[in-house]
Amino acid sequence: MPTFPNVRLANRPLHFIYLCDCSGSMAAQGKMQALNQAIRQSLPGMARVARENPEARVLVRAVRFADRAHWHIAEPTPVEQLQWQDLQAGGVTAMGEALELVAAQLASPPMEERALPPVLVLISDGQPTDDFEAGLALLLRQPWAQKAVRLAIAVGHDADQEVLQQFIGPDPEAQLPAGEVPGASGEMPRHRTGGSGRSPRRPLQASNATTLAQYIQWASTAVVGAASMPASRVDGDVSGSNIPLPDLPPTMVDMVEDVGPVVW
Amino acid sequence: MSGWQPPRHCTVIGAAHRRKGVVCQDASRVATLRGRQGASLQVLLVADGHGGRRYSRSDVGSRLACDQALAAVAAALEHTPLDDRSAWLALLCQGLPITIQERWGDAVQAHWQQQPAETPFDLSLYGTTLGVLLLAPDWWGCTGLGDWDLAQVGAAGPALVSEEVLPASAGEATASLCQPDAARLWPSRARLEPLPAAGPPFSLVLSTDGVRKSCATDADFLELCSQIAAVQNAEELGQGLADITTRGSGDDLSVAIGHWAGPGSGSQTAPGAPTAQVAPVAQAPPTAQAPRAARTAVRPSAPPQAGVHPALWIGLGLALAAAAWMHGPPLARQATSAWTTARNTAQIRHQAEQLCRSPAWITPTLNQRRAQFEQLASGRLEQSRSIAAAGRDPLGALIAWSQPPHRNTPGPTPTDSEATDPRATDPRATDPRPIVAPPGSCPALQTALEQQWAQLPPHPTGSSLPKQPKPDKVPEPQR
Repeated sequence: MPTFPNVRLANRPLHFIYLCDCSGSMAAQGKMQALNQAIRQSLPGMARVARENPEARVLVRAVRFADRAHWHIAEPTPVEQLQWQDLQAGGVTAMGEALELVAAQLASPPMEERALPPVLVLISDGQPTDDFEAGLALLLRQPWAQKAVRLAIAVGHDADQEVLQQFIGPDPEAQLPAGEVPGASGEMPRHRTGGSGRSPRRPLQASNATTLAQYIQWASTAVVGAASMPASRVDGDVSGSNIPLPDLPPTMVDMVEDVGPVVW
Repeated sequence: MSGWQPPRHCTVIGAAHRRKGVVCQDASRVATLRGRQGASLQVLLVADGHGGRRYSRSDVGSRLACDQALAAVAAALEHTPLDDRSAWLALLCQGLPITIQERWGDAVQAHWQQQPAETPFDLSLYGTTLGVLLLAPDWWGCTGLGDWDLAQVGAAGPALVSEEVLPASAGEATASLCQPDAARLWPSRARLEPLPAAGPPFSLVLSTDGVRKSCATDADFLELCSQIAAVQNAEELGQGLADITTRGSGDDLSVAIGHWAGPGSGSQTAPGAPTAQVAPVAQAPPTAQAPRAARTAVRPSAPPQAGVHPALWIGLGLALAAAAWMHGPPLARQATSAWTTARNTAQIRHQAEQLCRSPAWITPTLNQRRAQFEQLASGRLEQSRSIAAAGRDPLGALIAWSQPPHRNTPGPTPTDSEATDPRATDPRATDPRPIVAPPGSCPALQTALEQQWAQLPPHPTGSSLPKQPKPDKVPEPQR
């Protein structure tokens, strides 16, 4: 008999949403296959983290975007029950529409009052072909999107780093003026991981299948773990993300040193 | 003798912290102090250390916050009579914040010197929130900063009386003792409420954020506060909280509970005051001395009287109370009514201004109150009562204020409504727009309110008048 009957206690939902670029260029050099494999392989680790953090209810969704954007996994699905269906490449890059789809789901309702900051992971190898700015504006109008942990993975070197950085938001560690792409000015910002030039607050450069898998694994385990039981953050602290993000794994090689089997 | 029963408190380590081997970062304390004139003051404290790598000593920080707050209140009690409400309100707003901040800063620095680490000293290492609740024979008051909650459980049901208000995008952020100039953030959480000379018992439940975050909804949180207030057995309370953190947020939990059983035989009533007099509510003066830049950066919840010099509000309150005491019940009622009307209007204005500072949040915020729009439109919720509850639910009062005249429920007579509806004296009430523009509202808010009301069906008329709520039923605050 509980001490406090008739009170609905609840663990807090943690919404994890992939936004996957399925444009035709993703078919080249096995990028689509690598992404499918990376996400599928990350699921056991994600499920383990979810089990280790029962105070959070990890719910996964995915959006695919090419000529149009669609929900690939529309229902928030407990990670233990998730079975990843392969994405298919073909078409252009309706990234803005994908952001609009997510924006609608981050409204309150359907978002729960007590949810944890969602985690949004945008994965792209190219440039948006629709109105990205409008989609992003719509997304960021939602308070839940503002509090979300927004990560971006650039697949190959043709990805539009600027739009990915816009999706993430300004990198406070880079201390660059708003709108300026970190690194573009030639100024070397401070970074979290051994001065390698990488930060979770900047697009993560995946130059081959191995690196992509490592980033997906990191986002789906370390970030989910951090977001599941976020430490409080002092208001006005602009030095980081909405939750303290874990460091990138030190084993990851920098893009300039990348010597994977196939370089995208 | 005070009508307050002995206070209780409890802190339990969070289920997640226990599992991961992390120390409890919450702290709580209660104490009963005695003033020079013999009257007692109960002090209830909860603090929530931030945790995480950046705040690695926050478990010490929260404990020292409680210790230093208690010492600061004890020092203030040495030279401040408990029946001097205006002095205590000033203390809650400014005196105690400054003193506690200083004492806490010194205490954590001393701790650092005793147990230094390789990294340089940083106040952030000890970062914590702090909620302070004082229970005096004639009043209760609170102050502090951070994401603690204070709920009142009384005959009308539970209601949230103080919570941290930050921008929706703030996520898990909170105000902290370790922030620069943190003392300037306290006044928005400071308030002082006189106790009625007669009235039903009630409880005050002060809690750290883990309690509220463990509940599925705010309604569940308020229900939980009701049940926590009713638990007398300390062991049972500890077990209950342990169950809450396991099935809920996993966070550390702290509660401190005060219970007012009614006026004591020797309660410290002001000399000459009639026994049935209810003095006007005194609340925190605005953060007039805080630079605007500082307030904008953190955006604390400004008190409802923002824009008016604090001395005026205190003076007005005291003047109204004095007039009421001198002239008896009729004038007392008028004075209290005028005060209440001004206070409600100020709170609605503050709510409107807060929304207008962030236009992007207006529609999402209003969308969460669709049920209230519908209840007002259908007559299930009474407009004047919603406005009268502005202190507990300013957003609900704002929505009620905006209700278009043709959607109004059949209400009291014009004479009566003038006494209860502050819109009667507000020039904007004659606004030709379909809605009645709330005080302090901007075009974006007015448009959003119009859209909300426009989505509702017209109000039924004639014989199908809606059912009215019972007169003694005060609408529950909504979030």
